[in-house]
Amino acid sequence: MSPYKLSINYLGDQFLIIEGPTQIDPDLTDYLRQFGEHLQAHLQGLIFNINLTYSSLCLQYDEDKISYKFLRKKIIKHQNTFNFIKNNSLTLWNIPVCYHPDLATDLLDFCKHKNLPVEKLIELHTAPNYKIHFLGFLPGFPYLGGLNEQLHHPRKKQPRSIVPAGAVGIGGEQTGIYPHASPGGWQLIGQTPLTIFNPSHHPPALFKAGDYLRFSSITIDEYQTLKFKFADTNYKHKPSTIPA
Amino acid sequence: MDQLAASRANLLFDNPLNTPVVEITGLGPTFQTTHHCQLSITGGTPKIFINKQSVTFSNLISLQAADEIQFGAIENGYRTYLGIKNGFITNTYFGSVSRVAGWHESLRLDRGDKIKFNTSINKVFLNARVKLNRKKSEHEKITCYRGPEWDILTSDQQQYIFNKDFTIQPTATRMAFPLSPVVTILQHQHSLLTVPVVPGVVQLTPAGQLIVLMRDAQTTGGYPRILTLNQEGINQISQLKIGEKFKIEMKKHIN
Repeated sequence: MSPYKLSINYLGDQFLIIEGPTQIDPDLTDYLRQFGEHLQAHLQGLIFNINLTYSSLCLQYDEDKISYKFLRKKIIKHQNTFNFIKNNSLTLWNIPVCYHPDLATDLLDFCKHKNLPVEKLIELHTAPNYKIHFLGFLPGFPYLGGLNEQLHHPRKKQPRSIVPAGAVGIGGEQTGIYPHASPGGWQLIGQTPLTIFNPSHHPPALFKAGDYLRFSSITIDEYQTLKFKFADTNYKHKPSTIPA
Repeated sequence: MDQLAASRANLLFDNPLNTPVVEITGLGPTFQTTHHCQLSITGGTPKIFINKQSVTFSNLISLQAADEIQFGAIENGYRTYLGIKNGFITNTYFGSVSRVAGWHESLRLDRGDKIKFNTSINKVFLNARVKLNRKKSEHEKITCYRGPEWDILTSDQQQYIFNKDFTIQPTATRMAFPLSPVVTILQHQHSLLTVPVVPGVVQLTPAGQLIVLMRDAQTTGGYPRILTLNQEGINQISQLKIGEKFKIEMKKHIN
């Protein structure tokens, strides 16, 4: 029996969404991720693609082989037999970030709105080990859980047409890193010199869903030095392992 | 973008349906071919000139070595697809030939670029003419289905969406079609915890703008998903010109 109340909905003629309670809950995302892997293994040939968010799983299925109605029935049956297994050790990535207005367009406005000095924002943003719930939006973009409530802030009313690669942003209750230049609606509060998505690497994304990361504050000079170091094609950024 | 038209470009050569094709948007380029070949041309109908002479449109055009083919403005649509036997030869990234900002040097073919095809397998049927039927109405209605967040809208907002003429803004890309008008009546305060989105989802920004996510869309978003298009709707909207008026019509999904 599922520990979560899940609902199943239609999202266009090739897609179906499985939704849990709307919340950032590390166990819920892990549950959905494992359930998605379970469905892919047991419904081989029917599911092309799985897309995970905090509390939803989106399946792209072969509508020539199965209808929404029947796939829905199969998923409900599998929910009753699937068992969730918790991890006992975690992968932790250290991400250097420069919190400086010359590199982060929204930093000063954000601090003004939140009535927080920049130093306090840095302290709150660098304190947690954030869980990478999933990668989404664009290739390699990590969605993180664990952002301090004092830093929660709405997305921009209209997205920017271009946000630089490595920009660290806040949108709603979430924080994340833009892996390459793209449109974006988050508030930009920092910039990392690290490349987190490289199409010529295998795998191309640095992170995996279920990993953890921690931000550490660097100066603008350190940013320039590290940018040069990380640009070396032989450089490999490595994580550490911590107990769960 | 119009996957039905792209599939037809391949069907004419008995290629697998997702074999690489060239997509022309709005106004076409001029190509010169080094070898004789046959091209399929589907979707919107462009004016065609071969060696500067106007030719009658056909969905299958034969070219001799050194021929120059010019595609003019597209009528009865906005996107045209060129297919060739066994497809155009190009790099793939993660199984796709689409170009992505930040990964590829340019998002589109530029003057001087060369596109390869298999020259040894092209048969030229000089007398073959194909005419595919293409429906295009005067006043387009795009069929949409209820999105997961349709109910956050008031009934006034919902009615507004059904009665209004919308147009695609010039800032449209393969990722998304932002629509005009952007209006106060559609403004809202809703912000979602990031949810999955797929091509065809119609988002509503807090500023009151509808955005139709297209084939190269992102995979997640936080703006409410008020409507969704089926494959047919995405194909249909991809054939509308910038500024061309259309209405939104909602239906219930049946399967």
